[in-house]
Amino acid sequence: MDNHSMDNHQPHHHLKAAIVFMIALALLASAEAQQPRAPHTMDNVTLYGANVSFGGLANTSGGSITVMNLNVTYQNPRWKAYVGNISGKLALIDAQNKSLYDWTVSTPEGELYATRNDSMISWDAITCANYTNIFDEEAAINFSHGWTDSINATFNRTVHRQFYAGNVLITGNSCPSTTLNVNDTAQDEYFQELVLNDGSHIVYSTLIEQGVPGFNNLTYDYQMILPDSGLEDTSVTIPYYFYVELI
Amino acid sequence: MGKSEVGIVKRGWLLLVLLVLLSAYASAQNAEVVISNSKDWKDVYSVMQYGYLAQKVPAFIVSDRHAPVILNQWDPAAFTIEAISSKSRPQVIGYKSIIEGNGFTAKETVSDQITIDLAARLTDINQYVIVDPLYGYNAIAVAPYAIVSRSFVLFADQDTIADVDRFLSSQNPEHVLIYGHVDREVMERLSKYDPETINEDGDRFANNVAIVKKYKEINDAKQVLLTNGEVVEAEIMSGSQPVLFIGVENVPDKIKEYIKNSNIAVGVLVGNNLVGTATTVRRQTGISTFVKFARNAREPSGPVAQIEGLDIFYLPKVPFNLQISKIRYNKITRQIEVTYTNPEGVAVFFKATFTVRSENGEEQVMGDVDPLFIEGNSEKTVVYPVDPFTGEALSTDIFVIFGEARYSLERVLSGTMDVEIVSVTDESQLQIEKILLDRKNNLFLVYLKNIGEVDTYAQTEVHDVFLLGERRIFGAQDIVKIPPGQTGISKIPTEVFGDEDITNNPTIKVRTYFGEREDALVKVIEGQLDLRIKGFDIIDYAPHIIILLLILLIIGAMRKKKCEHCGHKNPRKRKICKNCHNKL
Repeated sequence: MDNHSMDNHQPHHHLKAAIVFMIALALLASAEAQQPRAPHTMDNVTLYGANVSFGGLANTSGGSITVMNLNVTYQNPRWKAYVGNISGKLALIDAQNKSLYDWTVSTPEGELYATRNDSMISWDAITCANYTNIFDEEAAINFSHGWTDSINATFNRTVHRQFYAGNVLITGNSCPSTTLNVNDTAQDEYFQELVLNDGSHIVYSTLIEQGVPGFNNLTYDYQMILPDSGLEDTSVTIPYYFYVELI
Repeated sequence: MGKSEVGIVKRGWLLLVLLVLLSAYASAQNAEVVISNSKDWKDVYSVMQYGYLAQKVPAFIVSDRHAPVILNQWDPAAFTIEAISSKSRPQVIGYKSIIEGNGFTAKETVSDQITIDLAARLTDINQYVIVDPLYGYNAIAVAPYAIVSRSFVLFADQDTIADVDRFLSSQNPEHVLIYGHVDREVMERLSKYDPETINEDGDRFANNVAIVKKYKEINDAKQVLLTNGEVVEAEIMSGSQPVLFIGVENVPDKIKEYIKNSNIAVGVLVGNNLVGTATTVRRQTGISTFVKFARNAREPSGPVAQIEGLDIFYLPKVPFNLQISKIRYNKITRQIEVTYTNPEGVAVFFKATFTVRSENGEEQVMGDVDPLFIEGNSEKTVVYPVDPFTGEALSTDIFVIFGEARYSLERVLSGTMDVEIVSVTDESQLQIEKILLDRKNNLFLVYLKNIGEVDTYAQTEVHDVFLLGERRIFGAQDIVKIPPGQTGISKIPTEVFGDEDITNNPTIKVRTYFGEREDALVKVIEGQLDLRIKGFDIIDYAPHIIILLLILLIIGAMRKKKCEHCGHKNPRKRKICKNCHNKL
């Protein structure tokens, strides 16, 4: 073995060590950033050996194999929810805004829209968002496409009613959509939210309901979730602007 | 150190240099935010238009509490911030330190002439739009056009035109547009730039339609923003779509007709103050109408988040108002007499409909076909002939639309009032003799002769006066009392008349309201009279003449008396020469 070949191997060893170190650092950083919450349940699936109280200190003595499943639920910082009610009035009015008769709308209709774009939505160009639109949006707000809670993974269905956005017909079950929980339970019928696009910008749309029990069993006319910044450890909130359509 | 170790060190340095270069490149690529820190709407407006023209991210703060909150929407790693602060009226002092405290790279520019300073930065802009800062809605109307045409909006009135002219002279502008009513001094000073003008008799809605048409020549947008020109908001200033005024309580016919005859398909209302009139637009024109009413809260509050209002900066409003002080049914003349009061200093046009009912079930409807005029801080009585009412208890439903311009009646006065019943005759008779223009005092003088046999009260207006290319109406605020057989003068304040304005107004349309009762000028007389210029009037110069005479007297008294015999000059009072003792 000559000195030259020995000299060439040494830099590779250093490099490998550096890579391993950096990976270890990254794992440590992401682990810390998770800020784990207390587990919801701790199932002691398999226990061989000494008894351990459920939920208590696991202090297994030697000679036993303990398998413990941890089920953790924690707040997702990358999404924000908006819930609420809408009131309005329908009336038969003349050119001077005098009403012949009016009905207090206890059954509101329509959609609530939200978008990051603060300058203009081209409402006559509204259509369903496609994969490319969503992918670009994820990149813009620092979402990883592979995340479990990516936009694409969240709006991974096409279950929604037909409606008009201005003069544009959005056909039923045609756009990326999701539905939000009723009484902490997943369902399909109410609180349908879609992802639309006006040719340049993503526009989220939620179909307004009529006083339906929402996620916490209180009644709401709308529920909506919007992705926030995908950056770790950031206090930056992505601005969203809300629109409704006058009927 | 062996060769391999040297190699590692070299690669390390190379990596370090690369990292430094990358970070420098990244920071150079950071987007720049410009934030207005001022309580003056003109500064806010100028920062917003500068930001959009310079392709930065413009924003503004509306209070000291807003100053740190607004920063939450930008990532310090991706944005640098420049605060542009008013020297005399900032929202917060030392905003730079607040921004830096939030992790941003920041700088602060403090100025007392933000508009011109920002205009000077834009060296690639040499087209300008001039508006009078008194009419903030004009600035809002032109904002989108300014962005798409790459123009900068400057504010000019008689006090600031010198600064604006100095700036324009240094820029050698390619094009100047004067939008809306401006002072005479502004027009005269800017005439050397051969400006284009848009001003249809000072009608903000007519001017707005004109500028929207110009916008659509550049960008044929089928979507418009609906507002009333009373707020600054990012989407309005961005230039992405033109702005159309829709009125506060009533949509002027001019706007409805324009929308119907255009290819506009969508309207977006910014804020929810005008939902009523926006709904009217929706239903009467058929365009889709959306309301941008909120944004997400910038202060984190948990997973189920709050919303907050849009960032909006309110402009000072031009106050105008109209009230009805009295409604009477005169049994003898068979007229309904309606007395209006304009409590503000701004003249107003109005058009009314009344439905008068009696307790017997009688009902009559009356009103105005064309808009009527009422001067600021004055009263006017309008009469409507009716068929006789038999009932003794009358009431009326009122519906009046009014506004600053003849065909821009955007406000509504409505309700119900009791009608007073009177039995009064009016024997007054009046004749308009002549009209003079007093250029020194900027007054029209209308000479009125009482040709009746009772005291007569009168108030006069002059209509269709062409001043600086704008058709104007001026009215007297005071009512004159003219005894029988006498001539009274109704004085109407006007503006400075140039020689060209006199040439453009050889005759003037004069309208006089008069009557026997001061609070019910129920008669009208009208005429087209030759305009004469008031000549020299000794009364006007009496004080000057008296002073001159006094001076002459004093000088005379101080002069000495010369002796005829010896030539000695004696004090004036002496009768005997001091020198030769001869009689003076």
